[in-house]
Amino acid sequence: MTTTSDVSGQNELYEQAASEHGAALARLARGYEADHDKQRDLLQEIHLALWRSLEGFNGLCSLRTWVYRVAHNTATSYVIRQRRARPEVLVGLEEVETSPVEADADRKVVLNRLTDLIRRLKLVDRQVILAWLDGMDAAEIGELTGLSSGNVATKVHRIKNMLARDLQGVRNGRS
Amino acid sequence: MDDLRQVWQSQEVEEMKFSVEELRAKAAKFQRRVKNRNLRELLAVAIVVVWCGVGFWKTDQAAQRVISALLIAGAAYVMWYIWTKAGAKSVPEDIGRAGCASFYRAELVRQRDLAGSVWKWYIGPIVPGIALAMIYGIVTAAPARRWVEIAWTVAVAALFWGVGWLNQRGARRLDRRIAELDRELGSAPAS
Repeated sequence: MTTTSDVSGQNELYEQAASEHGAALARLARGYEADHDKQRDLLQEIHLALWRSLEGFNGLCSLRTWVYRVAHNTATSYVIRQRRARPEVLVGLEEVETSPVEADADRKVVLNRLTDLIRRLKLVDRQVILAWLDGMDAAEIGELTGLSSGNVATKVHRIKNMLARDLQGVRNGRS
Repeated sequence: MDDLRQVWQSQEVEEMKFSVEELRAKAAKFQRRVKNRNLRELLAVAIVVVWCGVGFWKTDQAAQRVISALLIAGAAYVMWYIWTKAGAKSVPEDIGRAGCASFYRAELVRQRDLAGSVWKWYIGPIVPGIALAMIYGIVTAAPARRWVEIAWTVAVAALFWGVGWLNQRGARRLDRRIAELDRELGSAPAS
């Protein structure tokens, strides 16, 4: 049975999660949906799922991991629904084809290219690259995705290679 | 590489934050939408039940009564299955506990099983009533109209076969994605 203190705990946790990870959730939604209005709908869906899920938060993982899991899992369901209506081919890290950005490309160009590349990736690869870009290390990504540490290390290595090959223009980029 | 992380993390985004009241209102709106969808489905089944029920009571033909009873039972079974097993859940219970890869796999498995068993829960239950009605129509039709009944039966059979074939194809495609995912993950988590 849900008690008043459970509910207030759930609400407080949501407040904390939204304050600390709100921007990360918005970036994550951008990695899953290109259309601006649909992006907002997805983000709203993620917030709603997060709030409802926090009723069952058991503290066995960090709040951050919980928030990211709920967000990725909600976005995964969203992508599966969208792909039924609008099939598209997603590729793995090793198959993705890009062309290197210009060495003096500005940050906006690099960001657009990066976001476009993320949206073309298969879902598990997308989860890994988004977590990595948001600053998670291999152990945290393993906890988030459920992948073995070896598997995460391989994927992160491929991500770095791919990004180094195609997006290193940011090093000289302008703000 | 850190530059790219910095570019990603410093991008301008439109953050959203909802008050608890807003979230409650959104959750209630979602529940209303689910309830309305359920009511629409229930109404569709109710129409079939009433239509077949009237046919059942008005006729003195045993065959027509059997057809009506089979159609009612088939429609009721499909409705029950959709409500209990195939319906969309608002928030899966394990959404915060399941690792993203296994959550994704579980979603694919659920959809594959639904599509792969469409004969069992969607087409199969209504086929006996429809088939019997079609055969009854052919047998009792005037000789001049019999070919129309036969053509109608063939068209309906083709429609059922088409729905089944499309779902089987969808299930095979999902099966390939699951196998591909298992290869990628290195092992197959339990279905």
